[in-house]
Parts: sequence; C-alpha cells; structure tokens
Amino acid sequence: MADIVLDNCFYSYSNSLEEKVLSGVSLRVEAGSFISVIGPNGSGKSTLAKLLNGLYIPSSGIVEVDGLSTREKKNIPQIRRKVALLFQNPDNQIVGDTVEDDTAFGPENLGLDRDEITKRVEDSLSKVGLLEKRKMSPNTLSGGEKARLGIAGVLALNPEVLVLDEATAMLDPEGRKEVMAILQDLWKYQGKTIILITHHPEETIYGERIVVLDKGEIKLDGSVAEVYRKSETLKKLGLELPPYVELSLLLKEKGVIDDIAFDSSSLCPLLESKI
Amino acid sequence: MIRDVTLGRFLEGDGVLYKLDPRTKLMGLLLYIVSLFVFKTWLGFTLTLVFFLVLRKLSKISFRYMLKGLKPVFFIILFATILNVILGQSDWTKTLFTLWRMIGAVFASNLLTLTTRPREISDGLEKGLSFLSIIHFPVHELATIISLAFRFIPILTEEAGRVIDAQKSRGSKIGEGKIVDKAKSIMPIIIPLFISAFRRSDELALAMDSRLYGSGKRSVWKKMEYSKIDIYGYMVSVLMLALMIIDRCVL
Repeated sequence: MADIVLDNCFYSYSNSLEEKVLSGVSLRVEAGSFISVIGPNGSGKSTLAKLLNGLYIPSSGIVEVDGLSTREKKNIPQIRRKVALLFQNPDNQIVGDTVEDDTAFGPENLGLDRDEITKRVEDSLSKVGLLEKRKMSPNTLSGGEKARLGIAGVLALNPEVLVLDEATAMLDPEGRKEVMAILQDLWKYQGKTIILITHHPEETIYGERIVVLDKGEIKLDGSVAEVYRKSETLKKLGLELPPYVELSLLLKEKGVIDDIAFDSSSLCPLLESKI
Repeated sequence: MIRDVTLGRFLEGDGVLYKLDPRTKLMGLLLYIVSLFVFKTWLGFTLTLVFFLVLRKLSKISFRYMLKGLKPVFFIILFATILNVILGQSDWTKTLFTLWRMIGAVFASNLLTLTTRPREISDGLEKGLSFLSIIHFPVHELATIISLAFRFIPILTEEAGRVIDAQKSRGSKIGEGKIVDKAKSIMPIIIPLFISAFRRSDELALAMDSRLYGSGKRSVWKKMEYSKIDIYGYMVSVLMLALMIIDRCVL
C-alpha cells in the first residue's frame, strides 16, 4: 500500500520562487487514510493535488509515493498507477463515446489484454453503479453520474490512492451524496486511500483527518475533531463550518453541551447526557 | 441556431448504416465524394442523388434532421454558388451540379458522423492509415485528436449557446442588424469560447496524462471486424464510382 510523503515542498508557476503557490509543505499520508484538504481559493489545494501523482514536480522539496520520487521520470507511470487524480469538471476528463469505452481508456493505456480490460471495466462500473448504463453516451448522463463515471475511469487503473480535486464542486446535493457514498465504500471496505480536496465543509466529516491550507502553507492538520475545535482559525481564513459543527458550537457557547458534534449521531448523545 | 449544429454528432439508431464497419463507411464516403466530383451528365446527377436518398433511408435518419446539418455551411455554399455564377458559369446545369456536389458532400459526411461514434471513426482512420506508421507518421495521435475533436463538438456548441445567452442578457444584439453588424457581434462569442476551449483542453490533457495516456504501448479493447454487409458496402461504393467514371468518359 502506498504512503505519500511530501517533504518541504515549494512550488511556483513562474521561475521566481518569490511567487510561491506552495511554501514549505510537509505532509505524510498513510495508506488507507481519508484526508480532506480545505482552504480558501488560491491556497494551493489544486497544485498540491497535481504534485501527488507527478503532474507537477515541486520547484524544491520531495514528493514520494511508496518510496518513489516524482522527480525521477521513470517512476511517473508507476506513480500514476498508484495515485489516481480526478478533476473538477467531469466533462473535461471524459474521453470515450460510451460509458464503457471511457472506463476502458486507462486499462488500454496500460496495454492490458481484452479479457482483463473487460473485467476491470465491469468491476469499476459496478462499483459506481453505472454497469446498466455502460452502452450509453456520457453526454446523456446527469452531473452526478458523470462524476461517478470519472471515478470508474480511474478505478479501472486499480489505484491505491484516489485524489479528488474538487470533484464534487459542480454537483447538486444529490450528486454529491452519491459520490461521497462511493468514496466511503472505497475507503472503508476496499482499503483505498482517499484525499478529498473540497470547498464543502460538510464533506470533510466523512474522513478522519483534515489539512487546512492557506497561502500555500499548512495552517492546521489534525483529526476532524481537532481541526473543528479550532473553529476561530477556520473562520479567520474565511472557511465555513459544517452545519452540525456550527450548531454544536452555538449550543456549547450557551452551555447546553460540552463538546462539538459533526452529525446527528454525535450530537444526540451530547444532548442526552445533559437532559 | 448554434445548438442546431448536427455536424460531428452521433445519433443513436438501428439503421443498416449503423451495422457497417467504420472503415467501410470511411472508404464509402471517400468514393462517394469522388463520384460527386466525377459525374458530368444528368444521369450521373440523378444516380448520385438516388444513391444518397437510398443511404438516407437505410440510416433511418429523418431528412429534416439532415437539413439541419446544412445550416452552418449554408452561407459557404451560397457564396460558392454566387461566385460560380459571377465567374462566367452561365450554364445553369453546371451551377446546379456544383451546388449538388457541395450539398451532397456535406450530407454524406453528416451521414457518416450521425451513424458512427467518434471513437469508431478514429479507430477506422487509425486502422485505415496504419500503413503510414512505416514512415513514423503519428497515426494513433491523429486519430485521437480527431476523436476528441468530435467529442467536444456538442460540448462546445452547448457552451457557445450559453455564451450567446449570457451576452444577450447583458444587452448584446447578437445576430441582429446588417451583415457587418452580425459579423462584429461574433467577437464577444468567439473570445470567451476560445478561452473556455483552452481551459478544457488543458484539463483534458492533465486528465489523460493521469490516466497514463502515452506512457507505453496501448492495447485496443474493441476489435474491428468486417461482416458480410461490409462486402456489399464496398461493392456498391466501387460500383458507384465506376458508373460515374463511365458517365464522364463515355456518355
């Protein structure tokens, strides 16, 4: 299983290191974990995502996936097999004319034989619930289904890590729920590592750890509870809190409960203990 | 009007043309277009017209939908026809033949794209042009570019529609006034459309890189295979061209 290590990474889009997008980012992502990365616009979240599978190479510092450095060109195909990246707009990453053709694109690039490709296409599409729509054109799918197709496309590469760069940003609440349910399943039952870059605070509670980026630096890094206990810092950065956290903070302020909650299952016991 | 563009769009269907191998359709299109430019008499004109009507029937695509495909090239065809008349083409028969040659070529190309998925077209091209790889011509890359271009036609036409709506809602008078005004009003559409297309292509390239495109030798999942119907397809296409050559040389 692939651990990802970023050590003192700097990244700049221009040659000058003065306009840094990432500034001394060090991070360790253990295999099998679910990490959410949040931060204001321009904080470097998408750049961080692209560093993880070697699409971008850090201006200085090291990114290693399972011990393989992204600086070594020969490691890149291997790294990309391990770390799959999903972008925001599903329309911009669909290559095939049908759902199944698009899913087969990755395995074809791996040079796999026909039987193996068929197996991977069927497995991936059934994992995201699109097997019945395999012959349909991607243009006829809903936003949520297109996002699921994107996930199927990268799952067919059989990656160990899934990085989602605001992949739910363009979806309606129903579509977001569908995607989050799939991510939960992939993380809990299939052992995949999930790195979710998001603007929706309510999605972060599905994971176990939150990394907060601002101006290219890591401002907070800890468990969901640890990060949301520092709600003042988040608010200073202009970040929203999940609705349950917001509510429980208000209740805590009024002395109704003693701790913060992330969902109904954690709020109810807190209230019950006080009644 | 922009949303009516049918060129490059695939339409789900079950006509006979859908069952043909893409290579047969590509070769058939090529031979038909050559035939259109070879015929010389009314007999040739009638034969190419009837041939197209039969193909249209076999595709089960409505004639009205086919006519939509003419919209984007209507002005080009009109302009070419006017030029033909101005430049001393006093024979109206020849002008009509020239007009049909252009319309027939557009119709036939539309029939190909409406009945063949972009991926099938690119696979057919790749297979058909594979001999060029001997001289290191990037056949696969060319086929991928064509396939992606086809795939993005509906997305970009939708986007153009949205840009037009957005500009109109801000008071822009797109498509109104004289021809010069109409031409000028295109600029506020073209610029945002180009920017959007570049952004999309950038993200697509990154997504393809992420999915290991170009990282090694590719395999092909769906194998193309000829069936009996393709033999008839080739025979009819070659026969059509042969008849047009006779029409030109003998009649």
